This record gives sequence, structure tokens and C-alpha cells, in this order.
Amino acid sequence: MNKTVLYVAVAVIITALICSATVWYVMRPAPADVLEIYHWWTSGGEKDAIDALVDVFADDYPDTGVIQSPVAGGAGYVMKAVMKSLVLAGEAPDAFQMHAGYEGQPYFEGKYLEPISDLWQEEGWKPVIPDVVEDMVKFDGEYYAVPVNIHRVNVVWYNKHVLDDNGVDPATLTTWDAFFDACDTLVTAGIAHPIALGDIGKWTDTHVLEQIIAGEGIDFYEDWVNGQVTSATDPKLVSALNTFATYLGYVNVDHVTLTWDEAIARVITGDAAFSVMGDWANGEFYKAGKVYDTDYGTIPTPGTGVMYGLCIDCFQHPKGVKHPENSLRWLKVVGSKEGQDAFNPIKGSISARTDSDTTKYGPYQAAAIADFTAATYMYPSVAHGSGAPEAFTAELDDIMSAFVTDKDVSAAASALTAATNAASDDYIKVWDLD
Amino acid sequence: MRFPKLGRVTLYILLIFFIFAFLLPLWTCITTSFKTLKGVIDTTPVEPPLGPLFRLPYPTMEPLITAFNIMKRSLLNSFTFTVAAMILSCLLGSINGYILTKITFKGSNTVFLFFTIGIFIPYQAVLVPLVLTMSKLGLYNHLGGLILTHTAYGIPITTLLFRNFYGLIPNSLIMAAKTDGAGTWTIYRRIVLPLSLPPFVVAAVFQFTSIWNDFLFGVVLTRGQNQPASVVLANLKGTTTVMWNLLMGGTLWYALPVLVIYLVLGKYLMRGYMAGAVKG
Amino acid sequence: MRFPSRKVFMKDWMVTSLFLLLSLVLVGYFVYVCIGWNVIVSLSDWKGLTPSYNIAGFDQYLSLFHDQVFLTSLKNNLILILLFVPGSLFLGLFLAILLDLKVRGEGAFRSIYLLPFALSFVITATLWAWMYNLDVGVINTLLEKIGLGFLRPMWVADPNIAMYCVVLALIWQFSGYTMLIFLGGIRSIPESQIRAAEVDGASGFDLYRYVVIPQLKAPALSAFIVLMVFALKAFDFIYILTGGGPGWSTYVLALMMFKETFRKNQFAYGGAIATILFLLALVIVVPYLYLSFRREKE
Repeated sequence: MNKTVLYVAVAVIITALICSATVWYVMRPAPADVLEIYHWWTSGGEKDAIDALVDVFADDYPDTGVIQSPVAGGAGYVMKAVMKSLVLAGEAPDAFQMHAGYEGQPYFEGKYLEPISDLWQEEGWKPVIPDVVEDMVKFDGEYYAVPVNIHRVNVVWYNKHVLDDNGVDPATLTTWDAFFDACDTLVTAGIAHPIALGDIGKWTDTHVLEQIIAGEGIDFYEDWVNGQVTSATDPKLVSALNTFATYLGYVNVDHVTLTWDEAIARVITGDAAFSVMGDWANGEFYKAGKVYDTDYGTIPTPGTGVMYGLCIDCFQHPKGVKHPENSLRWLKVVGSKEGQDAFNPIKGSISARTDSDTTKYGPYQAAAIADFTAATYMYPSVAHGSGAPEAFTAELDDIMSAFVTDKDVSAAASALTAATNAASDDYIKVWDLD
Repeated sequence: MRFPKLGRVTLYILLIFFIFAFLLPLWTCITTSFKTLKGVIDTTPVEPPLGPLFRLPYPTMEPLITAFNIMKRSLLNSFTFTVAAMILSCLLGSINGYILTKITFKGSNTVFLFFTIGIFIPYQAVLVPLVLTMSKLGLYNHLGGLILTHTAYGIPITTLLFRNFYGLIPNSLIMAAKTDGAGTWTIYRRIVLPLSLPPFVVAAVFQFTSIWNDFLFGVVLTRGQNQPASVVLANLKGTTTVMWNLLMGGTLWYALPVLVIYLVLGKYLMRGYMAGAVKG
Repeated sequence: MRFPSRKVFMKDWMVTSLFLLLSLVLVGYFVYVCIGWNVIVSLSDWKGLTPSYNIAGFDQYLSLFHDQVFLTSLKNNLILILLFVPGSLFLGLFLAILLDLKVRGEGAFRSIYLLPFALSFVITATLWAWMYNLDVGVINTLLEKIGLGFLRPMWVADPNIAMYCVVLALIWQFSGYTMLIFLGGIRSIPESQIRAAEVDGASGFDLYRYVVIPQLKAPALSAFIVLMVFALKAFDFIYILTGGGPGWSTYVLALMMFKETFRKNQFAYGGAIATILFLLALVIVVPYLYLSFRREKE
């Protein structure tokens, strides 16, 4: 016994020594001129996209090395913990990804961010960026971040073959009533659960509710994100929850054990006809070799035809960073037309700028850009950290996760309003959406 | 022990049932890591990609190769700090265990309590002071910081393991050495340490598994090139895209060192537990 | 008889105590100072990301006990302690006994049973999500095959049983490890004792019941502590499998602490949860140590 263990131990230690020597060699002091960024685009298309953006930066500033620290998981859930620990310890990187809007609030209130209104002025971003988007990176009238992309959240993905075979015209599905009628048609045709949902991670439930609330009208949505919906008997709130309850009647029963991409896969295979998801879902159809407008298509979620729901990622300029100049240079690239048109076609989102080069984008995105330009209203997503304070959103996820199992409208309504009231101090932004 | 024939059949059926139950994760890892992205969508995880002959998609080596190329640097990082922290925490634990059993002093039980409670510390609760400390020590984003952290949080459990084992070494052995003129350190080095192979195997394997599988410390204490394999592995899954085949391929590479250790040392690990369970 | 020279003795004593001191400093700082930080923060008026160490009192603790989520989390940690810990012990013991029955290829069985313990939670939790799937999941498919399809439990989708599903999955992951500990324990019982019992007419079940199992207290105690650590600190597995849901049904203290601190920026509240979690550990460790000290004296 002793010998083998001894050999193993010696082998392990020798390997470790070799490894340390190698690591030591590779870890030679990094050049002083670097840019350190954190983001949660770690895999597949999202990684290719950020790499393309970094390439633009490298072309503009060839002498600066870029150190990326990707941290994946639950739409940045883990990364939030990492960033908050780092920022508190004074180890903030030169820039980090966050959702625009309320996700920046704790950093702003803790005075960890440098205002960058001058940069906005110099780069002339104001005229090319829509007002609501601009408002999402502002606190107290000053700019604190630069948006890099826009994902649309109010999208219904459908399997075109399934709808065609059953005589459902997606263009007519502009109200929830029409949508549920179509679902009934599909159920009769043998598709037991026409809507696919996968809510491992909980935020997908919030995501659906948010689109239904927007469908109640932009005024109501504005009240909701401004913390004004404080009565559990508010007719529009109750109506939205009732719609969601009906919606759940058409949803696959195993939603609790699926991830969002597994739900999309059911639309791809035709086991389900619809799924409500942000437009990063387009990547899943692409991977499966499906063609937009032939195999699958999109409509805005019922009631939100003239609206564009915004999920926006941005970067900022933290205080006291090690390479402040590179931090600002990075923001310039992030906000530039060139940078956005390098990043977004690959990411599957659209540029936050209205002057983007549409020829670079795929067929779905081209349609999205057209909708974006034509949109009457835009609204910041709550499910994705922008619209409402973090303290509220964190509760909302749990409330909706309970709701999708018990469908108890009045319990959810009181929990929602209670969460709004509990976070009332945090509603520091006044959204103007109409 | 003799059992009737029927009993033996039942026994093997039971054993094989458990084989299935326990092998499932590895099986799905392997099948998925040989699939193309389309294959992942088209088939259930248990179905292996055997090719169209079985009405299944073609197998591919690509996920495994890509995953390895993405992970190689981080595997090296993980290996370095895991082995270093494992050795340090085992050594310190061994010395503590020895002191607490063989040179008992007033309050040694309190010291033991002091260590043991440390096993239960919830790591999420210490993130902020931890990053602050590492930043002040200049060990933030340094493998040394991870080594220090894992060593410190490893000491409680290794102390416990070694103490349980050393309690079984007859005191007469120590007394005899003492009367021969050996001091405490000499006794440890000459008598206790050579007897410690079984608990070292047990403690080392335990520490290797838990440090290797740690995600939380790795993700807050390092960035960029220094990220450990657990973080890079989680990154293979993506946030708005999901690449199951790449994730599972990466998982195989990530699990490999631990699996090898369990397979090679499995027998000795059990002997370690045999030795540790003998009543003194 | 030779006595050590005073000088050698002192030097030796210095070296040993230096190492002990090093351990004490490391554990003292990384465990106790860090927990102390939590205690101070839990008493402070820290709000958002602006650190504040002004003592504000026990408000956080008081509101904890009115917080339904906290009570659920506490209950779930207790479920882990009361079901997961004994469950893993029993299944591990059962497997160890099976393998002890002179099984051919024992080494292979043993290694395979140990596999889940070696794999990280990311993998095992993902696997269990798929095991528990209602439509295409392994368990329900099997139930249908044997004619019990009408049962079709909701598994993790049912808030009333979701926590028990988590427990079951965790028992699966840890029982290989307890098996190894117990097998080591069984093997260390002198052959002569077993023979003697067999001569006395004990066989099969009785042999284990009266001879083997009573001698497994030590391995049981050492497995107990590893399982207990997990029962209290459970986080990753539950976070990935259920995220604490449906609703709040599978929240545990560590998960709640993470949400309060890092999602809601309630550092003081999160600190209070961490402190309670730590106190809970104390309640468990002290009797454990008492037991093990008493065992040593025997």
C-alpha cells in the first residue's frame, strides 16, 4: 500500500511543481497598459459578439491589452454578487456589464460611479439614442453609463408550420383573447400545450407577466415601474394576473423543470406553437438551422404592437479604477456606431443607436430594427433589472414563481403591491414613457 | 457470509439497479458531449449519438476538443492552487490533530471546539471581508490568495479528521519516545507522521474534491487569465445562449482529475477509513 | 532513561506551537473575524452599497422572525438535518452491507457508487431537473412503464413536496461517500469477532443487527459531521435545481442570505441570517463534540 500511495503522492507533487512553474511563466507581470472588463457573455454567439467588440477596441488602441473576465450564470445573478463584493473592496474593474436602469442604482447611491455627461456630449450620442434609452443610463440628470445593445423582450416566437397547418394567422393575434382562441384551436388539433415555458431560474415567469402588464397599456406600465401601483385591487393589475392565469392553462405542465432554451426547443420541434421570450431566443432557432419567416416567426406579445420592450446592457466608468483612461476609451468604443454594429449582428440584439447599418443584420434583426424605428412607445424591462429597484425585482421573481404553481390572483396581487411598498424608498427614477 | 441462492440473485439485481442510478450523470455527460448542437435539441440526454443507423445523430469530437482548448489554462490554475492548498491544509491539520491529542494542555478541548465550528462557516457570508482582506494583502487576483483562503477554510475539517485518527495511536508509543529524549516536534516527525498515511489519504482526497469543486471563492478572488476551472466551466453554458454539448464536454475534462483520484486511490481511501475506525 | 535536554525540548516545543499558532491565526481571522464582521453588519444601519458600521440594534433579528421566507428557510434547513442526514446514513449503510456480502467486482461497484460525490453540483443538479421532469423525465417514464402512470407526481413543481425531492437527490449524491466510510468501518471489525458470532448461530440479518452495526458508531459520527456541514450550508445544488422555488418552498438560509445581500442590497439583513446560520452550527457542533469526547473517555 505504502509504495503506490507514495508514488501517487510524488507524481501529484511533481505535476503540481511543473504546473506552478508554467503558470509562473505565463503569469509574468502583465503590461501596465491594460483594460479590465467583466461581463456575462461567456459562450457561443454572445462570446463571439463581445470578442468582436473587443477587436474594434484593439484596432483603435493597438497598444492596450484587454483582459476579459467572463462570469456566467442566471442572467448575471452570480456576477452581481461578484461585482458588489469587488466594488465594496475597492477592486472594481475598468468597466463591467450591467443592465441599464435600476441595476446601476446601488452603485450610483454608493458613489462608486463617475458621471460621464462630458463623454456623452463629446461623442454626440444624444441625438442618435432614443429618449427612453437615454433615460435608462441617467441618474439625477447626469449620465452614468453607455448602452451597448437592445434586446426586445415583448416577443412571441411561433412555429410557422404548426400555425399554417392549423389555419392560424399570427398577424391577427393582437389581443390576448385572439391569442387564447388560437391556442384553443391548436388544443383541438391535438397540441395539448400550445405555449412553451421553462422557468428554471424563475425570471422567465416575471418576463411573461411584464409583457402582459405592458399589454394593459403604456400608462399602466408607467405607473407600475414608477411604484404607483400600490393597491392589490387595482383593476388592471388584477386583469393582468387573470390573463397570466389563463395563459398558464395552455402551458406545458413540466415548465418548472425546464430552462428557457428547452422551452424554445419545443417550439422548434413543433411540440408547442408559441413561447414568449426575449429576442436572444433567435440564436436557438439559428443553431437548429431554422429560417426566419419560413420555419418560425415572431409577433409582439398581444397588446404591445406599437411598443418595444427594452432589455439593455451597458458599461460604466467606476471611480478609482486602475486604468481610468482605458475605461473611457472602452466606453467610446462601446457607444460608437462601429462598435455597436460589430457587436449586435452577432449578439442577436440591435444597436442602441438609430443610425445603425441595417445591411449588417440578419432577417429577424432587420425586422426588429424596423419595429424599433417605428415604435411609438418603449419601456424598460423589470424582469431584466432596468425598470424597477432591485429589491422589488428580487421579490417579484419569487412571487411569480409561486403564482405559476398556485394561480392565486389575489395572493399574487397583494404580494406584488406589498413588495412595491416595501421598496418605496428605492423608486428614485420617474419614468416618462408616453 | 453465506446466503441462499435466491438471495444472491436479488443482491446482484439490487447492486446493478444502484449502478444505473449512480452512473446516470456520467452517462448523460458522455452522450451529450459527443453530440452536435442540433443533436442536443433533437434527442433526449440518455440517447447516445450513434449515427443514422440507429435513427440518431452522428457523434462528433468537436465539443470535447473545443472545451479542452478553452479550459486548459484554467485547469492548470485549478490544479496548482488545489494541490498547494490541499498539502498545506493537510499538514497543518495533521500537526493540530497531533497537538490536540498527544500534548493535551489546559483548554485543548476549547481549541478543538474553536476549530470544529469553523467547518460550518457559510462561505456566502464572508465574501465581502474576504475580498477586502485579499485586496489589502495584495493577493487579490493571485493564485496565492486562493491558496491562502482554501488553506484557512480547510484547516477545521482536516484538524477534525487527523484528531480522530491520532486519538487511536497508543499514548504508550509517545511516552516511550519522550523517555528516549525526543521533543514534541521530533516525536511528530519520527513517530506520528510515518503512521499518518491513511488519514493523509482521506484528508487529501476530501480536500482535493472540495477545493477543486469550489466555485464561489474562485469567482470573486480571481479575474481574467487566473480564473479557476470551475468558473470557466460554468461560463461554457453561457447566459443568453446555452451550449449543452460544450458544457458537458468541459465537465468531463473538469471531472477527470477527481475521477482519476477516486479510481486510483479508492482502495486506499477505504483503508484510511478502516484505520480511522479502529477503536483505540 | 534519558531526559531531553532543556534546549532541544524548548526548540521542539516552539516549532510545534508555532504551527498551532499559525492555524489559530488563520482560522481565527478567516472564520471568526469574518463572522464577527457579519454580526456587526447585522446590528448596523448599513443600507444599499454604502458601508456603515453604526450600531442600530437588533431590528434585523426581530423582523427575521416575522419574515415568512426566513421561517420557511429555517424549516427547510431542519428538513435537511432531519431527513437528508439520516437518509444518507441509512442508504450508505445499506450499500456498505450489500457490498460486504462477498460481492464479485466489489471494487468496481464501490467506485461507481462514489461517482456522484466526485461530480460538481452544477452537473448533478442539472441531471436531477431532468430526472424530475413531468413529461419526459426518467422517473415518470418509469412509473408509466410499470403501470403507475396515474400517479404522475408533480415532483419539484409541487411546492408541498419539492423540498423532499431535493432531499432525495442529495441523498443520492452523498450516500456513496457514507457507504465508503461504513464499509471501512465494517472491514475494520476483527474477523475473529464475526466468526465467533457465526459459531454462536448468528447469520445474515442478525449478524449485522447485533454484531456489526453496533460497532459502527465511530464511522457514523464522522459521516454525520460531513453531512451536517452540507445540511447547513446547502446552496449551489438548490440554487441550480429549483432556485428556491416554486415560490419560496425550497429556500434555505444560505440561499436567502445570498438573495438579501447581493440581490436586494440588504447587507444588514443578510448579515443577521448568516449569524443565525452560524449559531445553528454551534447548536449542532457542541453536542457532537460532547458525544465524541465521551466516546474517547470510554
